[in-house]
Amino acid sequence: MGNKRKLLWGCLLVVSLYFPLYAADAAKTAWKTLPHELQTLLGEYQPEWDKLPVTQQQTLLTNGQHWLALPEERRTVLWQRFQQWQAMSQNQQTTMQQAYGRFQQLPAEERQRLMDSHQRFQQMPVQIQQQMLERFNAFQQRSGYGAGNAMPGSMGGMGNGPAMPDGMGH
Amino acid sequence: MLRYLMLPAVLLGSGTVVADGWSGNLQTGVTYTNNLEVQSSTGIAPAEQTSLNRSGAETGISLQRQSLDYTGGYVWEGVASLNQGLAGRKDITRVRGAAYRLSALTTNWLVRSGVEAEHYQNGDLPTGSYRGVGAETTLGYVGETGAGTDIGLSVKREDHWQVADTPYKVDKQTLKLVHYFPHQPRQAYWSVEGAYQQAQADDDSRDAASTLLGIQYNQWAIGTLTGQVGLQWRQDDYGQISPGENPSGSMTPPAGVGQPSRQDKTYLISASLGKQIRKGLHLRLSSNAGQYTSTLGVAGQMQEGTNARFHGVSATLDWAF
Repeated sequence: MGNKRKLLWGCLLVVSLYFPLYAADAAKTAWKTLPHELQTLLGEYQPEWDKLPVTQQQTLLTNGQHWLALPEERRTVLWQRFQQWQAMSQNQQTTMQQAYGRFQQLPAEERQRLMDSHQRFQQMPVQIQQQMLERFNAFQQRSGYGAGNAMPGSMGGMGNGPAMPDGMGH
Repeated sequence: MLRYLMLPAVLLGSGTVVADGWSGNLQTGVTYTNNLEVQSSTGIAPAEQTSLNRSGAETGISLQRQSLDYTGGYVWEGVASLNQGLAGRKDITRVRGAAYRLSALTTNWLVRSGVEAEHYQNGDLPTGSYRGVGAETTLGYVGETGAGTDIGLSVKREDHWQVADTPYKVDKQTLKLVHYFPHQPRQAYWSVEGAYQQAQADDDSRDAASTLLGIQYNQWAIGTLTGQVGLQWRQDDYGQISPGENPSGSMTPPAGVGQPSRQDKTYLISASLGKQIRKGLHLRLSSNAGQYTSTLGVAGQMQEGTNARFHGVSATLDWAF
């Protein structure tokens, strides 16, 4: 598959990704209201676009309306993500795809928990999120928890544990 | 293919996912001690102690699963080790499982609460063997500059089922405070600790109140080596002594004389050195030396019963995976 075709598929799929399938009947209007970035991309590959079945064109364009309904900040974030995805190497993309495959195989409850967690995570400034994770790690490690010491009874604790083998630690 | 393009949305929270996963350590090495454990464990009467020299080859594995995000999460860990006695000595085995919940009260105050179960069997000192279950809560302050304080409260029940004459159970409650002085990440720092432990046993002679004070210098970089040194002092006060320990051979004191008691003190200095051989693989050398003193008698008339020095060394290879 040529690069152009790959890119086109990428564009089409990212559009489809963020706009679950809707029925629509105003394809041309939707095209006009598509974000400029998408129009540019799709316009550049007009020959391929024209070869798509009309129904698929309609679906993609209709999804544009959904796209426009998103807040401007959200669209910006999603667009940046798409660009990040494009900038990734083939290996990185494969790794991400595999990770996503594993994610899909998780029980629905666990997927929801991760998504909720992700949502909470997104609501905090990135630096604070990172800082909190580091603090949890520091809290664990400084007292020997999670230090991976398989021989807690050995002399000296061989790590961060109490120096006295049967000290009053955990 | 459509679903793959959802990846950016799903996986950009990879900071959360990073803190989810398995980790573990495999360790193997050799140990030598003139039975340090005997002299630093509460509840072991002098009559049961031994200066037995012991060498062993130890292998251990620890597995940990954690699921953490910035608000906290869960940690599960399992540890198993076998110290095979050399030169005719018996084996020491330990199996331990624990689960913790971590949560943040504020951005600086964190809490860890958990439960644990442990099986420890010492073939050379059956008196020291026990099966235990416990619970603990630790409130920790994590400061901006690496400084912090941990305040921990724990309870544990131990079943010393291998004591030859009278197997006993003991309930231990421990209050522990540790302060970590400010330091940069991966730089050396001091920490001081204090702990108080109360032990109530079926066998009254094993009831004890213990106090521990310690100071440590951690993450000490010496060339390509990383070191740690520590000094600890511990005192165990036993309300009563067993008939075997009492010079009169009786638990009942003569009229007008206070209840005989026993006080053990242990000083310990420890040092360890570690070297990274390659990523995930470390060689560690540890050594300990200390002094143990036990005094018996009634208030105001305490007499020194046992006075012994002890030491130990170990060398281990640690592979983190």
